Amino acid sequence: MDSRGYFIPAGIGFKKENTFFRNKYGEVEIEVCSANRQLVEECIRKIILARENCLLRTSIKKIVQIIDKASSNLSDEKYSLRKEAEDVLPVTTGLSPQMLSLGMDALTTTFRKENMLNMLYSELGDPKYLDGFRKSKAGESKALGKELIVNVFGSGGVPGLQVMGIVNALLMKSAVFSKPDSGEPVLPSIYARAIADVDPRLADAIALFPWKGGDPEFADLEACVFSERKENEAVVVFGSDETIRNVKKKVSPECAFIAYPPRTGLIMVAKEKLTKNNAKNLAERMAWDICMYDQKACFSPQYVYLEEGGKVSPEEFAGILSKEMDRMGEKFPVGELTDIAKTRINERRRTYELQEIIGSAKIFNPKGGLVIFERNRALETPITYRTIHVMSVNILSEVLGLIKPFEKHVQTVGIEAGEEEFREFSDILSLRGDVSRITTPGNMYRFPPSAHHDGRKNFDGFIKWVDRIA
Amino acid sequence: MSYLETCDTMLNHPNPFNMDIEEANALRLAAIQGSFEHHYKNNAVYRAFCDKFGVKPDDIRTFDDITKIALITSDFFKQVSAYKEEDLFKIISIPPEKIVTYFTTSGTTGKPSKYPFDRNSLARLNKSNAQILKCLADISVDDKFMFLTPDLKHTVTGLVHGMYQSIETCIGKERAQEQVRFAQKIDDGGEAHYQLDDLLNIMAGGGIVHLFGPPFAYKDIAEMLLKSRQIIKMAEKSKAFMSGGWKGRQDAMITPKELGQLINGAFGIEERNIRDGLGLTDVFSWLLECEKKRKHVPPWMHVSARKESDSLKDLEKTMPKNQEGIMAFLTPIIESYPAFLTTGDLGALTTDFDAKCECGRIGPTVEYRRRSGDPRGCALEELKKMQTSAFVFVEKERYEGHVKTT
Repeated sequence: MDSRGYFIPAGIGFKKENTFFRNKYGEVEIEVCSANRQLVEECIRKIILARENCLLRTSIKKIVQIIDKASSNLSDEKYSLRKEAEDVLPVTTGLSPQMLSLGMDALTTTFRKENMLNMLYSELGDPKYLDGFRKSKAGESKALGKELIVNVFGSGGVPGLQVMGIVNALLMKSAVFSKPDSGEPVLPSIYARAIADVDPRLADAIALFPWKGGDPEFADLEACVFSERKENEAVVVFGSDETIRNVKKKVSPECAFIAYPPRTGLIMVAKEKLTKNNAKNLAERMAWDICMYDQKACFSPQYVYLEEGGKVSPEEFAGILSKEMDRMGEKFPVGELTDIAKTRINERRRTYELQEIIGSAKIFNPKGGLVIFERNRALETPITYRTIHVMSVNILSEVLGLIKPFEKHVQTVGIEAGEEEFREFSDILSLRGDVSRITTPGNMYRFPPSAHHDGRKNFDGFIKWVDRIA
Repeated sequence: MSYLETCDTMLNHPNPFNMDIEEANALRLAAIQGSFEHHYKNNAVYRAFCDKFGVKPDDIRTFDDITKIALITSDFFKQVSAYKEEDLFKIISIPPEKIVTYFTTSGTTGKPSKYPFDRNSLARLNKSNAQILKCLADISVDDKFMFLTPDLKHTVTGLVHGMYQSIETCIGKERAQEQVRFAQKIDDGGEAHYQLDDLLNIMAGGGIVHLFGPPFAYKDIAEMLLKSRQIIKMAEKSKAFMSGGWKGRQDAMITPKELGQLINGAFGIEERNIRDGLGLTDVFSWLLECEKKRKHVPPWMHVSARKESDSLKDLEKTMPKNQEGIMAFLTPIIESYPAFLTTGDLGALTTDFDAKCECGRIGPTVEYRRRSGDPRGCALEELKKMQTSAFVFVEKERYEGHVKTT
């Protein structure tokens, strides 16, 4: 057995099975547990008990220290769980070992003390509200996280999201039950085990294991996980519109339900920034945004819009971007392509080979990617896997019309423009669709945990405030 | 014999689905070789595309070589039609003045694709669809037809017009006017209503009555009949033909088995006479099921499941029988554009080219499985894409060459 795809609190008996994952990075044997209703019931009972006996009695400062230590351990290449992650995750996630390592570094940096405290201050004003009544503008106030948070992860999300679900729950002193992506249940298990290495009692408030969502075989189990949830609990879904719809139907109406649907990103560049001096640097920064997690994240840009009239033409810039993506492809190769991805990339490339012949496009083939300079500004569905559509506009504000058909899915926008124009477009875009993060190219993939997620605070919907007014 | 004559030999055969297998494949090869040569020589864009693959007419020597032919994506037609219609002329293989009409595909969402046609190609397509209907459905001149759709004046879909033309070709124009009826009426407000009385009347007239429409129309009417306890017992050889899928009515979707039971319960049509048709909108054809529920490919078409790959050249490799791959469709009967297409749909060959189906007719037969899904990722999975199982017969746009005359 190379790793595990579950985390079950101590003292619960369950049946284990082995499953194999295989791709170009190797073959690994992952132990999973046999999922059934009884196991869910026992896990939920145990983690709620652990919350009462441990989480609620542990100061938030201590909880932050424990998670910080777990992250610190995982940042050490010599730590056994880090080694396990590096060995196994390229096979289960499909990300290249180099990208996976980069992702692990990012994750272990994110969930460190300073970042977590910043988030807590940002969310609550003072993290100590989670420990008990403290002075507030209302007199004295206390913050209580939900008794239980159920996280559901659909397929294909970036690995760190599942860890974020666990960490956020613990920071709110909520017991957490996660249904990980059955295609990648290993990383959340590794993180939970890393926390258990530091403090097993705290880790007892975590349970996770996968099952095939929506399968009639698990109807009874899902009734327990979703339909029998209570008022002081929450179900959070990260997944496709279909996954969200299917889960929402099952969740009891008393329970809080929060959904994070699919999202996308785009980049806009003003002509003043398309200069010989800036082009290479800009392309390099963009290449990071595009290549990170193989463009599969909610923040990943799928379209780039460049204003005409700069010293570097949009078509020329597409070539420069291709070179930088080529460099990224050398350093952080694209991961394993699924058969579906291969089909779609092939279809897209074939379509644009023809478009290039008739003069409507120019295509570039950087290592592990595809850059399409699209003259007709055709709106094509994103393929991810480092396939980027680059288009020109006469003036930057034209972008607002072009993105209308899909703006409700846009989360993150990277704007490269003068300060005034940056602010102007930030204001305009903030009113459009679900745009909730505006930054500069090169920063789309990095944001602190204190940043809002999809337009809301991380703890929104999970915290009950109690005021004591004497 | 020219390749077009070869096409006509197959199209005019008394029963092309019962030809000698070797003869059928030899004619298929010859027709496709000739068609590829025609498009390669006369279509500069397509020639440049083939050159990228390093494939020329001389490379298509054997039956297996057919898969070397460079495939165009249906996405290309969608894009050109949507964003720069004038570029459509760059992909035609005949003098522009020979274009007489465009067919437009449509779906519930997205932008339509336009395909240019000359008279000869239109005539051959009509013959093709009529032959498919005649040979696989065993229809005769006295049969009646009830379309579970609006009539020709109130719909522009190829589903309806194409099928009507096929029936006309099979039984004659005058008979078609007498023997074809439409079950949906459009009121003054533009709302469609099923006319159960018309349906019941045509049944009461006796004789074989074939039904035609999308699956949801069958479901709607069957449920209406069962609710009002009116059960029709259709004549034994009556058939239910369907095509078009559940476009715009996904909420009503039921399994083929459930639909079959509903149709049997409401109309008395046996399972073996319920026939689904796979619409190939990019080549404006359909593949109809035989009584063994297999969709037959006529000799003037080549359909295969190709291996998924990110290499342009690897689409040459075909999947073995019953194994899923990317569907590729080639037909030599269209002269105006290279009808060598891949749509991104997934399917499988269920009878090989050198074998016979259980029904006794020659292969191949195919099974459509699904649209190739979306790549993994929590980034935006799918913007609404056009679904192209129904095509719109747009004859209101008439062209002489590239000049619109109406």
